[in-house]
Amino acid sequence: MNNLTTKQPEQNDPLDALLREADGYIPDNGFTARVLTSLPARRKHSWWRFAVLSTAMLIGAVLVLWQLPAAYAIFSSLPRHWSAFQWQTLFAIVPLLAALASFGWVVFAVANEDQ
Amino acid sequence: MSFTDADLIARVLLREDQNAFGELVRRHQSPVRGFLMKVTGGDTHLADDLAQEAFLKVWKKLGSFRSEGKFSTWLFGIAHNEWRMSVRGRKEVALEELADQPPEAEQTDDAAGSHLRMDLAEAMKALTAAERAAIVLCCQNGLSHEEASQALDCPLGTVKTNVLRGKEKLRRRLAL
Repeated sequence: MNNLTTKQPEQNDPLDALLREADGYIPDNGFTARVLTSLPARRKHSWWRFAVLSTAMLIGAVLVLWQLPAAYAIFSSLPRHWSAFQWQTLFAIVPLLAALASFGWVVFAVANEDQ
Repeated sequence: MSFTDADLIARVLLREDQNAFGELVRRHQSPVRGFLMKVTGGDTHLADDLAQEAFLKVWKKLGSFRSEGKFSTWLFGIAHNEWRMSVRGRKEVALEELADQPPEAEQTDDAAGSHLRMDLAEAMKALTAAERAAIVLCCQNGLSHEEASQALDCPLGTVKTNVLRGKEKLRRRLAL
């Protein structure tokens, strides 16, 4: 049975035989050495990098949790008191936004560590 | 004692062992350079440059290799991608156009008589790039159609068609 999804070359097909014969070995001739000399340093997944990122993530998470109740109170009062909106309100949100941004950045950095 | 590809990959990932990587390169350089030489139409220098770039990518991305598949399939995929990018970079004909492009004046069965018998290397040049890549992977490097479709990043049916069509053209050209 001729199953096209598995190995294709047929043993008695002259073209397949010719193709196999024509695929000769190419001598290295210093190719491997050239590749090895041009290798860049691979980025190591060092323990300190992991520690720094984990600590930063922890600090970010704590800041977010710390700011969250205050921010929730501000946001929930906004629709009812638009007229009472003050710049101080906006400044109160800034630390939360900063904490959220740093937390997001750390998550992004950890997620893209392999690339 | 000889190490398997998986052993060598593990050594590279765990110890950043350049000797192990060198052994991987030595084992696979011939098929990869041969493959690139054929898809570039016999341009040895370009093929070697692309092969070198492909192995550098392998060094950087080895951590993302999934051991369920064959290392050679993954490697051919990277090599093929390097070639594709070089074609795009040189603003040459896009791969899709290459695939659709009729090779050169197709010879009729009559014209392909014994007096016009070409050697295989010349006959391969008459194939489209996609046909050549599929033939080299499946018929010369022993990849299955599924593996070739992974390496070439194209549908399985396209690989099968390219192999069949390419072989048919070669048969006509070589009068086999």
